[in-house]
Amino acid sequence: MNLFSANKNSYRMPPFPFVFATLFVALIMLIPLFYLLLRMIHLSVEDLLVLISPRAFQTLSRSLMLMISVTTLSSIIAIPLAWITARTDLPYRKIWTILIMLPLVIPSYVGAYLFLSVFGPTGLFQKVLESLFEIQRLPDIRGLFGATLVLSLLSYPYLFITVRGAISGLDVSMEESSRILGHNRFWTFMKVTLPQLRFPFVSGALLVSLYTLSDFGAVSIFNYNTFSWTIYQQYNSLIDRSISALFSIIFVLLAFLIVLIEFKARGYQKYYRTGSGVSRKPKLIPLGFWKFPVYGFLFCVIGLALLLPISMLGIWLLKGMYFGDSVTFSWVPIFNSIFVSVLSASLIVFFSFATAIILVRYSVTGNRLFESISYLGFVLPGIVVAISVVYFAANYAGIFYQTTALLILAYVILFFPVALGAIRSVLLQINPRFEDAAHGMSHNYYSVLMRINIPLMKPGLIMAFAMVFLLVMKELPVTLILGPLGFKTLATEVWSFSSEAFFASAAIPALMIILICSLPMLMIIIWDKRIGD
Amino acid sequence: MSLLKCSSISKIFGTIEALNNVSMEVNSGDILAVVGESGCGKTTLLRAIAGFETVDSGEIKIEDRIVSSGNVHVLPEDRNLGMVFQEYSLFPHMDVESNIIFGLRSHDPKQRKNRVKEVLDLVRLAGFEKRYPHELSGGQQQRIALARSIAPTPTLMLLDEPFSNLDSVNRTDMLNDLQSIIRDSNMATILVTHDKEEAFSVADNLAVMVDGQINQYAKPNEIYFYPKNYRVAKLVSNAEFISGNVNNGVVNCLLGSFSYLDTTGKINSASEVIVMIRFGDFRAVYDPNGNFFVSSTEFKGSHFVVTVKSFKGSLHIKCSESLDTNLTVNSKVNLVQLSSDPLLVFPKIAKEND
Repeated sequence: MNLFSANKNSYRMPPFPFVFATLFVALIMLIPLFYLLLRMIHLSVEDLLVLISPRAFQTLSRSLMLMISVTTLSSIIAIPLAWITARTDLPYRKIWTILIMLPLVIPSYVGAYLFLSVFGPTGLFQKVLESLFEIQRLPDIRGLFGATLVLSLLSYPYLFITVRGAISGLDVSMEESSRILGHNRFWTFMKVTLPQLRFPFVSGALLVSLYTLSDFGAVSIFNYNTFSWTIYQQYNSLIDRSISALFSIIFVLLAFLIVLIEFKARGYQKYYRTGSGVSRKPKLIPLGFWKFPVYGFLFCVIGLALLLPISMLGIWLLKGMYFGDSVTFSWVPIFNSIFVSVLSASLIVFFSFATAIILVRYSVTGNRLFESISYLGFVLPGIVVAISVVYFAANYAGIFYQTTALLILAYVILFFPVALGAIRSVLLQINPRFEDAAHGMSHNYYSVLMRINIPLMKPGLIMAFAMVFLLVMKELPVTLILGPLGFKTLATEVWSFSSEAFFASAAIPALMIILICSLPMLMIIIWDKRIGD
Repeated sequence: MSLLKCSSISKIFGTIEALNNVSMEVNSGDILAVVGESGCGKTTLLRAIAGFETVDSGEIKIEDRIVSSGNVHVLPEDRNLGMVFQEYSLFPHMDVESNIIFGLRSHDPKQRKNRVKEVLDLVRLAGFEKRYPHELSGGQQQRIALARSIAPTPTLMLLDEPFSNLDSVNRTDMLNDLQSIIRDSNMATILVTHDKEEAFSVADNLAVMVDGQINQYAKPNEIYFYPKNYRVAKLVSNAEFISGNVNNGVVNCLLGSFSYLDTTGKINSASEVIVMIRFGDFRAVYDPNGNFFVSSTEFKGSHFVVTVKSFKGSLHIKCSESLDTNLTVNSKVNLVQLSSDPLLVFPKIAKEND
């Protein structure tokens, strides 16, 4: 909400460290863009042939297909769940809401491996069926089907969160007006409720489609060549890295296109500011007999998305220990993961705090331009950021090549927009008159910052920190490409152990990621009073 | 014939009796205002009539058809009502025309357009068809909401605090318009409000609700002059209440002895009572030996309002004084009754301190 954006400081110079931080972020955000432009300028005729090759076309169509199918399936999962947890008398709604959101902590490569081991042609499920019905082999779930299933089960929480928030914020008297005007419950839902959910639905769908597009883990395991996976293969083959660069260009253009389309689809966003807000809590709809199908649905979704991965990891681990596999456990990746996650999250929160202050409170030249640049990271997939950072270091900053600093730089580019979004929105809701009042009581700039801004912005700052922490913890492609030689994190450990089929050893870091990510996640959920009753 | 008839309806939420044995009737073309403090059950009553709440017992009849009772519940969409909400509740994704058409039963485009034009003329917003709700002011939004609800020509109109989000100018305009629209269309109307001036100015009948019960149901002037109990008196007046006792047909209080009137019929010949002192019942007269003093004066343009306090006790009474008054803050005064009308008295309630 742009409540106080009109109130900009005009008499005070923006504080130097913040300006410096903002400029620094702006510069590094430009690295991937610079790299892609450079590549485009040097396009040769051969390159253009690659761009229109059947392979490029196939990758494009596969990416699009996956994106559409994942967005569709996660809508089918998320929208009913959002409505059920917000509007019905389902018992223990708060607990269900938390469980529904938790699959966010499971990295897609972990989810995909586990699915394959259970539902694969000769997986656990087939073993059970064999003992019962002598079924020798199940159809292969690799490819579009499996990737869709796993990615939907792991990304539907994005849609769930945005749509559920919107449903509980809806003005109930709108629906009551429609009933009084002679429309029954069904038509009221179709004509009055659904159209008002369009904006939050599109925002959530955008998150899901970008998540799918830039996913690297699940598509690689299910052998479904989308852009991320093709670029990584090309990059790793070391033969011709220009193909990976070319594909990156198409990839980013596609991402931009999707963002544009979805922005158009948001349409009449401004209409949602009328009326005087919610006055009455909606009457909860009694589920009655419907309780049983609802429970069935909930158990299916949470069972597949949360219980199955966690229990399979447990089984792998126990089985491995039982059969005396050498289960390798090391503190190093745990330490490394926490170290880079905390460091990146702190840096990103600082940078976005500084940037938010400058953007919201000062009218500086180029403000708008910077705002657009800072959202670039949203569309830039991890793999493209990683490749451009490598290129940048190799050509202009050799001493940073193969250092943790470079890795963290890439994380900043990738996740800065997430943090900026969260922090900017809380700052916009703080009336600058509070700050004026404190200045009036002779507090200087930094004192006001420490005693007024930071305490008031705490929920946003914590939210941003927790989100970035979680994202860095799960991140794989950037870590694989930019991690210094021998630098092991929990994510890379899962990746390397499982690609060599040491499942018991992979189970430990996978469980650690889920455990460590659940903590900030639970913190956010419990902190946020809008969730639950 | 009464259009709406509620017969001893009750509704319990958990342990709270939101509606307790409520009975009332409204005739075509009449406006009934239901007033009460928030939480008294007036909104629940309206929502029960609309069909958004079921009733536990009793029955609601609209045009002689039972729409709610212990075992019948006609859905809101099948009751042929109009309702205007406090929050306007215009659909944000539809323009004014679509909002109004939304409730029309006719599918003939020409008829629809004509009806839209008619109701927009009624609310004096002709030409607003293509505007969106966010492009309208609060007052305009509420007029459109009213137009939308009268467009399907309902027989019964429900208004849930429709003016509470409007400023006073808009409110007066809307009240006048509303009154003439309702009279012309011969609808029965129920207006729920916490604003007694609003209720007095438009209603044919007034129902005062206290704790889920209708305490008094009568013409506005009757309720104003003869409130049935202390709670009703407090709700519908700006009066001060002071303690006193009755004896031998007169009431004695800090202001003196006066004749009294008991509307409750519960006062014995000698008992402790609460005396109702209306604004304007007394005026302050300068007296160097007076028992009272002026604590503040407020200039109101045509007159002064003088607040008088007693030297002992917590009494403070407001009086209206002419512009040439010589009273200033701290002047000693006496209070003199203006007419010889009896003062209203109510039985002393243990809980109330004044």
